[in-house]
Amino acid sequence: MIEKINSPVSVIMDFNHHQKKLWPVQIQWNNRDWRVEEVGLHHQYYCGRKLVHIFSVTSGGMFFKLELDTQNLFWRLLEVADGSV
Amino acid sequence: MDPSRQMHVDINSCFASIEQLSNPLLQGKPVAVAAYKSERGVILAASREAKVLGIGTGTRVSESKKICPEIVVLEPDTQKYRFIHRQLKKVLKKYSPRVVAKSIDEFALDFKGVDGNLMATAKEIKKDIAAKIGPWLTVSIGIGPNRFLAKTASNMQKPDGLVEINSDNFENIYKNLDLIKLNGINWRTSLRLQLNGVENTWEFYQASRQKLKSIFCSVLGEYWYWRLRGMEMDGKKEEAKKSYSNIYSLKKRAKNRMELLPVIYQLALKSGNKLRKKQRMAIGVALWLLLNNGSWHKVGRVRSGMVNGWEIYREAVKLLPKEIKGEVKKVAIFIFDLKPALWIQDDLFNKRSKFIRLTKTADIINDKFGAGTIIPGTLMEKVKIPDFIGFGQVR
Repeated sequence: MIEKINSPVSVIMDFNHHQKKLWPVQIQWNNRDWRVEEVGLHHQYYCGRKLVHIFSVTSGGMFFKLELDTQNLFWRLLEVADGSV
Repeated sequence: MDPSRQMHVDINSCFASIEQLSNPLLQGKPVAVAAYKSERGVILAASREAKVLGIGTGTRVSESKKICPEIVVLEPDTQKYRFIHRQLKKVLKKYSPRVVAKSIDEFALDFKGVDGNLMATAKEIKKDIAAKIGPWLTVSIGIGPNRFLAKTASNMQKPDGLVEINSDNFENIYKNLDLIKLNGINWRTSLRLQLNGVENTWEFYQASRQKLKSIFCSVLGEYWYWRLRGMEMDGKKEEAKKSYSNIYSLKKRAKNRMELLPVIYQLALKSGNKLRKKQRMAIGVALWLLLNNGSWHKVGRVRSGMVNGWEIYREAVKLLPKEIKGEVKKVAIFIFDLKPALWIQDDLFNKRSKFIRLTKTADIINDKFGAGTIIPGTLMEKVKIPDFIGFGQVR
């Protein structure tokens, strides 16, 4: 079941300069901390001239779609799903 | 037959596999990407788990749920698919200097003048895709002396296939290949061939040029003769397009003009973007509607060409009837009679040049802040513009 959320969210992220990789490691949502277990896909696109990064991650049997706005570096939680119908 | 120097790469269950790649919780489960999640929606791509159950492209969402109530149906995420398309192209460009995107999920690679064994290269490409994009995304690769045979080979083993058609094995492959499995032969052509005594691909290959010319009633028969012998008939430089078309299936059937305007606007904008990119203008525009009780179309022409989506929208709306007799299921815009946009004819009172300046500014704003930031006032309210990917060749 997919639930559209589209609201600001707190995210802790990690940047590794050796691997040149940036990952969200923890999300705070619904009064709970969710430790990111797997990043399925990190993709980006332009909305006008604004570059937007999308991280599709899983944690505790849940799927989270996170958006990082590169203009203000704010995070939004776009979707949550539990992997069922 | 020439040596095999053409490769065709096809992403297996493209949209569904990308969804499973991005959401690992869906891996191993039946997943489908449908134009709409509603019961009447049509499936665009089914995961391999869904395909095993008999769910495929074209199956209705309601039907797929009857077959498998657990199926996860998702709506397309076009930005995600375009991103993977670009990533895959980047990987493939490392191996061949000539990579042509045939569609969102297919690429043709030309290895003429490039040394090396193509079977080994294909295996390397598969490993590279797994490492750079993700192991869940698999591709079927076909190798052949021309693009057609490379594509045919890519369709022979799915998923994760690797097949080469060459002078050593083509006879055996042709003898076991149904005509309908050939790219470009539909059931009607297959029937026509069978009525003329050509039962399978081997007999198609053995038929004389004269016979094929008479079956196809055109030079196409001769093209097929050479194509099956490995000659390149499909890789020639494409001529400049003479028309552009954009079609859209409505989520909810439209009953009046107001419901259609946002869709026409989106289609016109897409057509206008193509014109802008190619620096061309269109003299003609046609609007086509598929209704529940038949189809309707009207063609219009302008004296001085249309150069952007706003002008196309304005002309297309003029064609739209005041009253729509029926429920609209699909809308299409065709622009034709394309010419280089070298000059723009103004009217006596400079109204047109003012309008073009205005729309150019609107385009700049939309490019900067995203499509739909500035919309025509006639739409009254900000509309959510649906994004969609066509299945045709990427140009």
